[in-house]
Amino acid sequence: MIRTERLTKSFDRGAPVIADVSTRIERGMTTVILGPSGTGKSVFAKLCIGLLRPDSGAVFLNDVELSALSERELYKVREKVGMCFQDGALFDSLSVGENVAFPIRRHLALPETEIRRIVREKLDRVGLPDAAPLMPAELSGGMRKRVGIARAIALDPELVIFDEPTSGLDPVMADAIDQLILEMRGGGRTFLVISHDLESTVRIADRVGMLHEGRMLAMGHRREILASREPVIRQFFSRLDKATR
Amino acid sequence: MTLAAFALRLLSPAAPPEAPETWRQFRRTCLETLAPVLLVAAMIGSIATLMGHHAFLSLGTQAMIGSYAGLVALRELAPLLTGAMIAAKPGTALTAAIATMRASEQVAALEVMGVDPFRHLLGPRVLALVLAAPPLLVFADVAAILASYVTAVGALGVASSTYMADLTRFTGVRDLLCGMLKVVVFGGLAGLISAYQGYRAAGGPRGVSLAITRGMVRTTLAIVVANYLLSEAFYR
Repeated sequence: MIRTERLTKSFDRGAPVIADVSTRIERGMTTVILGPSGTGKSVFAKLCIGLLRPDSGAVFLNDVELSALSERELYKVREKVGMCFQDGALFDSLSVGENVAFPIRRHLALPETEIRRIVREKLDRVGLPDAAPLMPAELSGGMRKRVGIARAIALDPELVIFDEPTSGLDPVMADAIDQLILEMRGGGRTFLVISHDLESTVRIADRVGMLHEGRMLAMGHRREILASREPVIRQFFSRLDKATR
Repeated sequence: MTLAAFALRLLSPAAPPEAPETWRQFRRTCLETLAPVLLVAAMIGSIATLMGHHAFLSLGTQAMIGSYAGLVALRELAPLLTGAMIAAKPGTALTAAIATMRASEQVAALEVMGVDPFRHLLGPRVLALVLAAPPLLVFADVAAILASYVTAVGALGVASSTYMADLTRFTGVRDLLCGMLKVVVFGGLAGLISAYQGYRAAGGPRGVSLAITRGMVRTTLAIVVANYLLSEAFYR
């Protein structure tokens, strides 16, 4: 689904945030990119869908090289992508229902009754069937994330990116989000999850990539990564070992 | 992104501002800016008349207050103050809105959804400021002249017929049109600079407040300099 080749990105001529990353995000799987805070995970996700342009290297989304595309061509490519941002990134001036309806109105010429039906269905899916008339300011952090997920899946995209879906949530709400991601799997849909939540990763990931100081230390099946002897990975997972001991 | 690159992308014919959103922003800008424009224009029209009257009185030419007030209001004060009000109210609101949307990743969310923020978000707001400037100026012109008339005739004892004759003798359609051209430029500068400062805001709430301050200061400077250059070009 996504292939990166020697991807490098820095800001303001500083040290690279992403350095020489070559990897693959497999179609139909849930891939979690793990790593400590500030290690470039969100930057990597944004590079993967052309929200940021790399300094060097290439990103291929469905075998289309993104850096060769104009902004307008990128908008077209991204119609197959949904993204749930860390704090939901809901449009403050629109109600929850209008937020979820926004991508549908932009890209599909559907009658209003059909749009309302899809919005209701997506809000049902994230467990917020009565939230449509609420404004984003009236929502809790967990509700904002769930509305963000409903909006991200409104057009049934091939690829859904979750940026820290469980960060800042209480364990019950984090479990609910994990469960939601698990329920939405299947049908060839690809999930790319940016996270530093180890428990969540173990629960939802098919594949795990470990990003450290801008470099992809490892990428593989969840079991392979959990069994890795790489010191940085072991140190990262030692917290999980302690927690589950 | 530099200001020039930002302006080029904003003006790109490949991505014209969306009409419904532009209309919504235009109406909002007009309605929200009208009251302060009327108030400031009326106050300044009245003060200019009072100040001018004292100067003319010492020369014995107080009958010329109509032409003085008309020229100052139509050529300089009304366009300049309308531009300043546009920068101060919808301009700062524009910077704050865009900067907040950048900080909360709402702009990135638009881009992910395949929506060009220049077409949907920035273009309509900038164009609305340009389009709202002429009608706001008409109200400012009327308010300034009316306040000047009331001050001159009501408070300073100038004969109504003298005031009106002097006003219409020395001011004309050209003054109105030059003022109109000026205020369109000011609206464009306010929109462009405010949107640019909002778009390049970074660093959370501090970045938002910094962007608003920068936008306001730079827009005001740009309007004052542009006013000088345009006055030189029109009235030299």
